[in-house]
Amino acid sequence: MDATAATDATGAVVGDKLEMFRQLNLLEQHRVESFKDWPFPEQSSCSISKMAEAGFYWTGTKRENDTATCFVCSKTLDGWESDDDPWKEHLKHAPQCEFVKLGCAEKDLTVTQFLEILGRVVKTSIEKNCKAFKQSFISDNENSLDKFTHNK
Amino acid sequence: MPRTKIPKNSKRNRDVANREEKVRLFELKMDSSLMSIDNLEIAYLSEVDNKVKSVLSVIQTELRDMKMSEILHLFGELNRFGEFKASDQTQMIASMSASTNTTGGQGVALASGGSRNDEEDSSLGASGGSMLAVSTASMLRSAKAMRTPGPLHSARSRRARRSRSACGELSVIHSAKATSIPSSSTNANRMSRSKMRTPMSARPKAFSADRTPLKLHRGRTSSPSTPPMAFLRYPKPGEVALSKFGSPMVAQVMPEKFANVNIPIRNGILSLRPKKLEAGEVESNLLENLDENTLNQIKTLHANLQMIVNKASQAGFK
Repeated sequence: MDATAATDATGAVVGDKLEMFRQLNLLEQHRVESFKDWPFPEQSSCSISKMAEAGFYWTGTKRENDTATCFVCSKTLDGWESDDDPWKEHLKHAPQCEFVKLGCAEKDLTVTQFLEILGRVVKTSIEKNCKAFKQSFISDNENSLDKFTHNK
Repeated sequence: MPRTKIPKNSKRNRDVANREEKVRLFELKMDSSLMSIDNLEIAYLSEVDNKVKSVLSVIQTELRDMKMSEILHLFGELNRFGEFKASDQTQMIASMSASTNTTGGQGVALASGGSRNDEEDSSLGASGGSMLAVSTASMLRSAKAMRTPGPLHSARSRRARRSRSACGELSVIHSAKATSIPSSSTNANRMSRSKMRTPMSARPKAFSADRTPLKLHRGRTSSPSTPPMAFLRYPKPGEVALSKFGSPMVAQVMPEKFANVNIPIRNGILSLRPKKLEAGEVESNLLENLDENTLNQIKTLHANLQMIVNKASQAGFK
């Protein structure tokens, strides 16, 4: 048994081995830990653990602390109310999401399903990074072109 | 006498032209960089798909169907999927399959015994014994039943194929096999054979359409008859392609039920099949025969295929 494995409140054991997936918010435990602030208590229907179970991680700020994003479809939702059901809201706002289509919590996913989700998440992350890089590349280039054309 | 007037501001004109040329080059370069970024992105995306598929195909069925809650606990103990040993529950299943395995093994032995060590059957039997078995045995039986008429088993098992032409195995593609037969042994075999022979057989035959050097061919692991990428040629008019079991057929078109790509190059055809291709198998001298036009066509094909794959995955095909 790996001595460094951590046991969190939900009872899941996730070792340091899976730490590299934290930035993708792939694991429910990591999503739970992403919530630095959340307006609703654990007993409400959109508590942190239920939000994380439905695939949401925290993307809020100090001023807007009720913003969360899905780790698969990247749908960002805010304006939550304490009686909102995260799964229902997720389905309503992002019916195309592959995670919500499976409709079950991480503990009930099979490894096959999880690996497919992993593939989707990694691909989304690649697409996002490429897009960001291309945008900065284009704007950098246009700036230097501007400088060149105006510097006669 | 008048002469051509040289404008005084020619230097400035040249400067402007220079600048414009620079801007044009800059835009070209930027476009091509953007395109290569796109290509890289596509390549990495499909790499992710491949990796997920290969992990899924490598891990055991028990692991694949395991719930995440269980496997997350397992991760504490495992460093890699390969270390997974079937637990108490799964061990029972494993022992059950082991018992079927032994009976299946007997079936295989019987089947291959009946076929008098025929080439194909014995090889199937050997691999079948080591694999999960009942299905293999039944497959073997059906394979025997479906055999098309051809040379007798005894005739085939006695020696390798008489014809040195490419029809034996499609190692065509890599002519190493044909030349690896030492000529002295072929001569010895000839002596033991009947004198009645087709006179034409004395004529040196083409082993293969592939004229590339013979190095690097030995290490291939995939089956020789259906490599993922092969160098073939279309039959010439009047040439008849023979099937392995002797029934004649004309192969003007590829009568294949799987998706494939045939690319005409300068001295033949590159035929791609839906199997994973190792980087080492693509030889640069094969690719030297690609002209720019063909390469562009391949690029378009590649983009089209990628688009189909993307559309299919978006539509949710597995």
